[in-house]
Amino acid sequence: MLKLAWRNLTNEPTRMAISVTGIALALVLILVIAGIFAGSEEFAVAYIKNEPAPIWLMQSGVSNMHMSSSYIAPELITEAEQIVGVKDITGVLYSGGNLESGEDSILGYIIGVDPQAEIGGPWKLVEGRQNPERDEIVIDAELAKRLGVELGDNLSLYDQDHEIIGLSRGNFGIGSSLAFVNKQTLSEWMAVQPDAASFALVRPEVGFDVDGLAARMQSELPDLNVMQQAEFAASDKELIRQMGVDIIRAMNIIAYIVGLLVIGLTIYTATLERAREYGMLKALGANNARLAIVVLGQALISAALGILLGVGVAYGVATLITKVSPDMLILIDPAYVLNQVPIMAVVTGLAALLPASRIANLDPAIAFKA
Amino acid sequence: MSAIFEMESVSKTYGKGHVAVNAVDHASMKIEPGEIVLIMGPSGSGKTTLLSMAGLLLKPTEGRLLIDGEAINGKSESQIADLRLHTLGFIFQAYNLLSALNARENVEIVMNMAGKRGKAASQRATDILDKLGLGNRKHHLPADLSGGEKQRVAIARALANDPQLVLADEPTGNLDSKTGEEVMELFCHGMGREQGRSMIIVTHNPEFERIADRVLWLEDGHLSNGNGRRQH
Amino acid sequence: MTVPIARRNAFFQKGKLVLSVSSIGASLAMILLLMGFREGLYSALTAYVDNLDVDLVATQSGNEGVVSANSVLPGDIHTELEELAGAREAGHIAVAGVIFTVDEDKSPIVLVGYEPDSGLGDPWNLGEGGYLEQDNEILLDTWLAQRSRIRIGDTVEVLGREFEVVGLTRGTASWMAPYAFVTLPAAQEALGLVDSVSYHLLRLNDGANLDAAKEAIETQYPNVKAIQPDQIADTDRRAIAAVMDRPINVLLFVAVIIGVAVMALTSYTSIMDRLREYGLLKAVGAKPLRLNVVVLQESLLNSFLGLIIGVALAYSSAALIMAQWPQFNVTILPDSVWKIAVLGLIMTLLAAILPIRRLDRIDVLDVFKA
Repeated sequence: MLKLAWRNLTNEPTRMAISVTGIALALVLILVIAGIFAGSEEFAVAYIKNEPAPIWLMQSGVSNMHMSSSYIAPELITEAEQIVGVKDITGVLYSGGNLESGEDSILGYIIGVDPQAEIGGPWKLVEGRQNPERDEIVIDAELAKRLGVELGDNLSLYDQDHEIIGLSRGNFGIGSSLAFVNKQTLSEWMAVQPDAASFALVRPEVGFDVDGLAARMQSELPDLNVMQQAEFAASDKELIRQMGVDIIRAMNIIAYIVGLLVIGLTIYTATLERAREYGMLKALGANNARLAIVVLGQALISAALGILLGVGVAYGVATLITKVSPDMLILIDPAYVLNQVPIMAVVTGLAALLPASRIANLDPAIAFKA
Repeated sequence: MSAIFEMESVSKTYGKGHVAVNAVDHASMKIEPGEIVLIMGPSGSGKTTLLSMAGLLLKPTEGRLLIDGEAINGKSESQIADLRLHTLGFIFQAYNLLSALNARENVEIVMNMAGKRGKAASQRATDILDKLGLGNRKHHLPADLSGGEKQRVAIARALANDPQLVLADEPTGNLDSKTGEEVMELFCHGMGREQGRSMIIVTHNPEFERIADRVLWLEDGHLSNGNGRRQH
Repeated sequence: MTVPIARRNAFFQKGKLVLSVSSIGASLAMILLLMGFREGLYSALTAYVDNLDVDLVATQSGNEGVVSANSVLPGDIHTELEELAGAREAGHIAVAGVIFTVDEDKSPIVLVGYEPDSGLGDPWNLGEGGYLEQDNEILLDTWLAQRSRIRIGDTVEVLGREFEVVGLTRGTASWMAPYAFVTLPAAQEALGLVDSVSYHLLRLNDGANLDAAKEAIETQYPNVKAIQPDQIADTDRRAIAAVMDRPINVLLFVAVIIGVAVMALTSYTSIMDRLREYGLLKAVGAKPLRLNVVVLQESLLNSFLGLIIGVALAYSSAALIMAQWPQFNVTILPDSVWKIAVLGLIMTLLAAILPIRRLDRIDVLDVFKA
């Protein structure tokens, strides 16, 4: 019966190709949208993950960096520095801003760093230097490419020209591009004291237990939220994940419906065409269950091929897009792919229902019609 | 009056060199206006190939075809298609009606293709179907017609553009003997033979000999008179 | 009048017609929904600014968006601005993006602090409850409240401070960042804005010259820009578009290809069903062009019906989505429908290529098959 299913399908290779493509593309939609969010999550936490600070301080009630605001008064930083076990604390300012070059502009997060600070700035420098003074800026090399600027050119931020003194890597992501400016300058802009901070990066003394230090800092600084690096990163990832959940679900539903219709259309018309053959098989004694297997077999084979093609195309699309547009990282999780398989199996089964019921209603006498 | 159709030493060869097969081997014939010519022969003798060439559906490997004195060789695809549309009519064993069109529309559509439209085409289709006894079936779809009725619609379609030559391939092959008789009657009296319309009928059915003017025999690609003499 | 063979062919098998047209409709609806989602997202993000009933907004130069920027201005230039502009009313607001956390649920929000006395910059659609009176009160978006299972009278925490929910707003929902409102002093305190605000809002006297007011302000305060609310909306839209357009366009592109595949499948199947019939037509003298036209007509008919279904499906799905999930604003513009119609036409023509080529390969001699 499965052999018949295979034969029926491959008898019309062009049609099979088109329908497999349709199914594949529905899967591509599902994988790409999930991949966009997954990639976005990665970029969003790049700063937190890459800065060598095991402990982070932020305003009480804040536990995210992405799409967040946080304010730490200078006194609190001073207090924190006194805690035993703290080697040093680097405060950075954090704000949103539009990086403009001519007609192009990219929305990004602006991080104000102290030129003397050892950490808090770009963690990978491709060109130039990384300690911006007044009216200077460090941006990602890919972002520079997008905006059509180079080292030494000027970018407008807050209506002020900034000279690009350094090009970094790993700071250009959808919705989370980073640029680094002078902390003093940014503090003036944000109308806060130069010693204030949005977030503070804590380095413990060598050999000090990080967990213990974090706990102690939290109890001694009730006005702040003390988070460990991994926890902080996870929090931001979770934020983005939650933002994406509904959209992904909505998109998936639509894509599954389309996939179902494509499979249904193919199998249904294939069944109509072969009505006489099925009638003949019935006349020869095949029962409805047997014939349903043929139909289901066609549907499953189409779906299986569609899945294989879809996964391949999705990976291809992801790679291509990330190459062309590095800020759009599309991460496809194999586990997520596997999760789609049972769903597609159900969808396929549903798609086979109508054709199968048609066969059940077939009059075997059709085989005798001229 | 010149022959309506002429085949001069026409061959159809498949393959090359020592594997070449002559499906039709130097066949010649002349059809005069109003003639009914039968082509009979064993299965696999090349009858369909011969009819295909006569119907300008297949290009001969060798030889000449002439319609109304004009040679076909060298005509473009477009011109040949026009000839098929205006000069020839086809009747097939499997009827080949368009399943989504009713009887009248099946006849009408070939007229549309030949440039005849609107009420004129519609009326003519109705008239032909009436003459063939299908007056009350003209709004039915092929699926609702019997074998005999379907073949009559096919005949009506073949006559729609007033062809000079009608080609029929096993026209009673799918019909019971009684219906076959009725169709044969039509071929004899309802096809406009008196007005000069000619017919080439490929058939196994010996009953057709009653209505035919000539019987040709095709065997192994060689065309001869019914009495076994080869034609040159 | 000729026999409408394309129409007859299309309508001959009702089941197949329904499936084909539904599939095309579904894929076109998917495209429309994606476009509607994009449009809706931008509208939702600029909802606040779009409903600002003021003539001019004074913002920090270079920070001319609300959602996309962090404008900071001194609070005390308020009176002078009023005078310079010839304003009959003025107010100030503080705006910042923060993360609203309830249990484990995180949601980015745009926190707006306004002056309840002036009423400028207040929520434009209060669904339930009352307006703000105290500094420890908050107005939440209705959807956000529902999703977090919060009711009027409950206490929530924002930036480490507690607020009592006194009202629920409408029109403020957004998948990305719904709006929430507190008093200006509360926002200033929470955001660390000492004596600063984000924007000054100005309502001019009747007959006042807008341009003159702008110039007066900007001349006196070179770091201030006086702009109209719709310019702010524009800035915000462009900023978000620069981020969101790329991923959405990727999805749109895939959706379009799916649509083409579905159309090709429908068209191809139709031809395969009638191969012998097309062969017959060829045999009796139909030229290739005529057959191509018939196929194209049938495809166009299917696509047209699919378009109607698609548009209906898109609008009803949009309504359903917004009723069920108010954080998704799906705005299908009439403009989009025209675009889809043209796109659908192009897709149909593209999709017809394969089937038409198949037509060319028909073996006329098949008509002789028993």
